[in-house]
Amino acid sequence: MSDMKLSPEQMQMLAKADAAVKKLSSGYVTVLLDELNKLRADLEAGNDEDAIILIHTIQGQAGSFGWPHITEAAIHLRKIIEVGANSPISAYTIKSIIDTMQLMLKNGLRGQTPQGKKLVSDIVSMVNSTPT
Amino acid sequence: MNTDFKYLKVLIVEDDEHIANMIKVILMAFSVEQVHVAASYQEAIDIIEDHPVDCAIVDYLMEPDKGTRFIEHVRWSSNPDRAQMPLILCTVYTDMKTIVEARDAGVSEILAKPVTPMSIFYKIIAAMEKPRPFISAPRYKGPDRRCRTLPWKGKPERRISHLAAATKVENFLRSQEKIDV
Repeated sequence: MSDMKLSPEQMQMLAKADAAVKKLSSGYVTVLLDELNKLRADLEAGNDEDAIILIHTIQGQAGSFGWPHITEAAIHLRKIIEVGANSPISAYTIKSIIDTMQLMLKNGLRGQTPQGKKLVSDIVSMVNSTPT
Repeated sequence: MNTDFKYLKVLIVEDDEHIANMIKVILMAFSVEQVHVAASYQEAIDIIEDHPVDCAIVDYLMEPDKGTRFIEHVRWSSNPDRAQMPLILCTVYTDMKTIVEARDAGVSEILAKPVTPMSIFYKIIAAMEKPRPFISAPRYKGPDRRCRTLPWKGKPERRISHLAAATKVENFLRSQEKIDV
């Protein structure tokens, strides 16, 4: 894929698309915040199926709108919910992942950042040490 | 790369309005001539019935029907142009099970989410400019599911063995002058 040579027109076209996406992304923060609140409510109400659909949505959207660490967090969240883990420890892990996603959002950790990487790495350690 | 996006008509089949809008914005920045958006399988079918489309970007996980159902619908269409349309499946699931399901449904390319202008650009180019031969078999219709040719490390292929045997028989018959070849 990367070995294709792009013409100046194509480079210009891609730059135009990047700018359009960036503009569109500014309004996405509110959407994501609402989705994370709904996700928390779904999980608290035991609506795991709705929660998994919403996590799938966040996983696809967040990275596309410039929040790759939230996409990574969503992947780990989906995995832990899909295995049907329902112990108090897994409930704590799930809550902590959603808290972390909200923290990333509130702190504006867009794109690849050292802080975002560290938070994702902490999520991975937490998920790996959660009994399923 | 010869694909001129200016003359392309693309259909987006996506039930997530934010992602659908983002893909639409990207395609418009590429100066794509026409972009249609369908939020469901049925809506997508209605659009392709009424509008000619060159390529479709289809979400995998839609409710109530998955994107692969739309892909199968297109591939088994009686209209040969429509059946051979480049179809790109867009998904967050990149596990083997999903990839095999998508391949067997007849996808041309798989676009992993999160999407970027660059990933969409390359997938359209790959689907439009490097289409694999179209296979129309009793149980499969779609691009050749073999994307690459790997060197064979096992026993000689049975077909080759049969060919070798047939050649031997033909040579024998030639030597016996029993057939006129």
